[in-house]
Amino acid sequence: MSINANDEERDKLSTTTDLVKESIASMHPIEKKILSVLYHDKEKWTTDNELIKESKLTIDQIRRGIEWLKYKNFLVVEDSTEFEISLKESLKKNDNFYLPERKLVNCVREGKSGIVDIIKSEAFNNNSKEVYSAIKYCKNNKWIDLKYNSVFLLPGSEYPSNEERLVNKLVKLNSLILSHLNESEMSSFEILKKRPNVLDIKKISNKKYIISNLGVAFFQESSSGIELERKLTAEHLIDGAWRNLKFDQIDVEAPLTLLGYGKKNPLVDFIDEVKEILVGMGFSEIDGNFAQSSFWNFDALFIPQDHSARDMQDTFYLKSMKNIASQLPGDDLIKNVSIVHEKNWNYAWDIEASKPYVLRTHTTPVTLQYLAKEKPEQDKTFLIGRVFRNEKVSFKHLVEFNQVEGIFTGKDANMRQLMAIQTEFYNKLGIKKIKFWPTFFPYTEPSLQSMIYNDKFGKWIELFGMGILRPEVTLPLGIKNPVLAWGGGFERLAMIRFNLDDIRELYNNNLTWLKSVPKCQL
Amino acid sequence: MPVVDVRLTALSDSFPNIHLKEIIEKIPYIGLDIEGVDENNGTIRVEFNPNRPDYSSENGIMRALKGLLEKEVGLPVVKDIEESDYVICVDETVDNIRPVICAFVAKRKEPLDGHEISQLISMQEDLHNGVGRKRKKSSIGMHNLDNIVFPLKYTTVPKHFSFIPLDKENEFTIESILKNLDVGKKYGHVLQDPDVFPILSDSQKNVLSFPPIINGNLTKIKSDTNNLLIEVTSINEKSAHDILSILSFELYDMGFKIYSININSHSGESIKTPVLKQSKMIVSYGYINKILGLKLSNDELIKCLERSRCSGKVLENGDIECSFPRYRIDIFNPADISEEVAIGYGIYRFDTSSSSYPSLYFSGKKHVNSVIFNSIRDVLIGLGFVEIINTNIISKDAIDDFFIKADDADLVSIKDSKSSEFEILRNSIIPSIMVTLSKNIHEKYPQKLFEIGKTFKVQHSELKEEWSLGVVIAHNNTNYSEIKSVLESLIKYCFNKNIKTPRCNFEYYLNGHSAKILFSESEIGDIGEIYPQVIENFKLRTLVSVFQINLSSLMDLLDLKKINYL
Repeated sequence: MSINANDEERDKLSTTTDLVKESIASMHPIEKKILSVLYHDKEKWTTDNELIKESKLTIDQIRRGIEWLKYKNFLVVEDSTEFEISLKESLKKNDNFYLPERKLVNCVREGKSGIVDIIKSEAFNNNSKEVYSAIKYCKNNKWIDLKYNSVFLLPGSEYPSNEERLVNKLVKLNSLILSHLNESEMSSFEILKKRPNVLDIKKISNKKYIISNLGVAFFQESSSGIELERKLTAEHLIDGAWRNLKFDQIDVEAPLTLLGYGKKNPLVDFIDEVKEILVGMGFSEIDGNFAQSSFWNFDALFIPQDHSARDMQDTFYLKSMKNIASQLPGDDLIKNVSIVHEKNWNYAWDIEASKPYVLRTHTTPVTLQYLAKEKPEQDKTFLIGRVFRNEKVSFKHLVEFNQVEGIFTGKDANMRQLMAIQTEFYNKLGIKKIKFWPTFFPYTEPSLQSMIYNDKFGKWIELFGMGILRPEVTLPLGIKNPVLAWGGGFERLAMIRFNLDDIRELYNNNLTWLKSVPKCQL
Repeated sequence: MPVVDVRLTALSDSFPNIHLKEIIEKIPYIGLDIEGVDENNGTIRVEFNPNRPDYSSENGIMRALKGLLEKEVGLPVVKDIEESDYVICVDETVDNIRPVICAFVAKRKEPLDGHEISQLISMQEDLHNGVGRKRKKSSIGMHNLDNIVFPLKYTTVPKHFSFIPLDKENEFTIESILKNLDVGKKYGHVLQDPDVFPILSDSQKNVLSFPPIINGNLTKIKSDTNNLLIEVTSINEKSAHDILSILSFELYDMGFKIYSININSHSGESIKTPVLKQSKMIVSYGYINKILGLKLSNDELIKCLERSRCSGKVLENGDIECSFPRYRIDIFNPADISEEVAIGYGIYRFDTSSSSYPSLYFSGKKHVNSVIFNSIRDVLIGLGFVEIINTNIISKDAIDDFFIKADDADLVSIKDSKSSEFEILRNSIIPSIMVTLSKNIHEKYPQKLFEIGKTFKVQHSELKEEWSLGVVIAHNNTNYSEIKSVLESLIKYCFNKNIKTPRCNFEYYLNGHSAKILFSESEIGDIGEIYPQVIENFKLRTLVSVFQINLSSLMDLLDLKKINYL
């Protein structure tokens, strides 16, 4: 039975006009509310105020819904202009309102019949102009006679004038719509209108609505007999009720609040993307300690013991009350390293100076230890990890940041290959314009630095350094083949990626920022 | 890095046929960084690397640039050094203080102009700081020759000895110079022996210099000075001659005639300085092409050397004998020669296209830590946590505020830290995360954060660093159950394992609301509701529950030393 009902519904719908069909699909709950109010009073014009009362919608919702419905020709709008009359605020003092002619009558009743006395009275307060106009209206009303500059009351003064009747009605009702006045009220209005300081007349534009025939047809079609359900529930599904139900059209376009979500740190995420690139280029990741002996951080890299890079100024030396001592490598290596220092730098190498723990100032000591341990004939490794510099923190300096470093070693490894590897890596990052300049590092020779052109900033930026590890570095480790090495600060890339001009932003852990960084770079 | 101002006119005058812009574009290709162009002064500011002290002057830079641009190639030479009978006698008492002295005389008709004087001063400064190791190793004195009567004596004096130091009117004792003058205070520590001090004086007992602190006023260089004595004192003979050679070339390039000086040692030996003989090195022909990845002929290769202001000749066995100027103190072995060839060839000429990419195949892989940490991240992100990163070095305050009752002896700290923000290597990951929470009090709650990072401790007098995971939840209703369900979910979803949490009290957790975390009977961390005073210490106004896990231990226990796929 219910299936049949639905079929019937469908048949009916198919006979209605295309416009109605389309309207049903896109009917908003607000529209439906308004239409149902109008439908229930379909013979009569309905105002905004009545709509607010009946529909419980806000005036804004009503205005929006009316616009939509008007566009669909489901209702007729009449924009009528009305005049509202009320008493001037200045006359409403003390809840009593008397026209001047009545004030005059009252004055005479209190015994002040001379015109001079009346002018001086409390009621008129020396306003002679008002008194004379009051006299004029009293005479029109046949309330008084004038003799010898005195006022005498006539019996007519006992009864209110037509103007007073209108005024009293206004006192009681506050305001009246002009078109609602009867004939005598209308003539009183015409008289009062001409008098200053009595009436306020306000023009009000009133919108009225009435449902159109199309609207009636639609309303009947869309709701004939079946209640609209707001939402589908599990109960509907389980008891099968959904088969008999018609469901409300929901607003499918309204924006909604964003959800809270778990998220990888943007810098960690970017590091991971770069790791993927390097793995794709055949590099394998290695890992090592942050705290290193001065030996591995400096001596093994052919950095003389009196070099300024070893000053406390730039390097974090570590201390502990427990007298921590770093583990130095075997005697052979120590001896080999001391020989290249003494021979080339011409000084007495001191093993004690190689013992203090430092926080690695670059990732290279990890690579060196890997080379010393594995002694590969050919290899490709990389690491991206934290390094430490004893610098003052600023928008471009951090005490801790990440360095990316890679090496390639092989029988025929050469500088041209090193530049090609670097170029390939940059290309994979989307960097196309690259140039290389000679530079100096204590542990590579030849040494190069790379410059990349950044479109966002519109300028050349110095990026990674590179070179072939000096024989003074590799031979003591037992490495015979040339080792091509490249690397540099990772945050520089991250600042380009995330459009930052302050490097500290990356480590501020500002939750708004962390969540605002999109997962995918466009 | 030290900087030198090069006049744009010097560039355009030296290369009249090359556009200035093109000359400037070539500057980086001799290993200099352009810091900026000062249009008003008509100078370009360049930075040079410490391996090339010969770049510490405009002349030195022009020398190299002329090579690359083929204006002058091959070895630069100081021609016609005049032998003289100028003598410096070295007293044996300097042996234990600053034993080496070397010097030369430079003469010309025209006095030094303002530009030359400022070049010499900035050069002296850069050489002092670099190869001179802040005057400790070597220092330079420049004097007006006309006020000097030879022979000179390099000797020592006691601390009450006095003379008129540079730019002073009165005599100062050595002691007072060290105590009262700025240079004395700054460099006095260089002299180790507090009893005797080196002095260079002339035959009239007038003081030329008190190295490495200050010169005498007598020999001050003025705008009318045209005859100079340049001396270098040092604790290292090679360093002294290195510096003197750089200065010889500089004065020669300024148009001075160079006169040698005899240095007579107390043992009777005598040497003539400056020693400017070029250095030589033999390199196998194949080596350079192989290391650079080039296919240069012998002729081309030698041309490249010459453009780098070196020279070369092919020996009978095919090897190449390379010569390089005395001032090239950075050339130690064939690798250094290969760089000279590369620079002379032109770095911009190398083929960096993919055809140069090494064809040797390697399959890359990530470190096991990266893989496991990412798995942990995935699970925590799925549970709604945001990852943060902090520094390993934190303030002592953060540790104290967190009530870690660690023995101070177990802490590792920074020597002479520049900032109270960076004092201690963190021994727990949670204080950093608490700081993060306190920075985000204006953000929406609940806040669910985690960090993977290192922590440090001293173990058996060795520094031990371990990977740690810290997880926190902050909101008004968080409690032990909530954080523990995160912990259990993590361990279950990540490793399909279970943990135990026997009751245990910690200073930083609310009593009775905390536990240690056991994994197969080993302690790997702790969990609990943060103690209210700790929350207050971090200026938070909501509840916080946390756990921390030692990931290094956990991975050891799980035997995760490599990535397992099957």
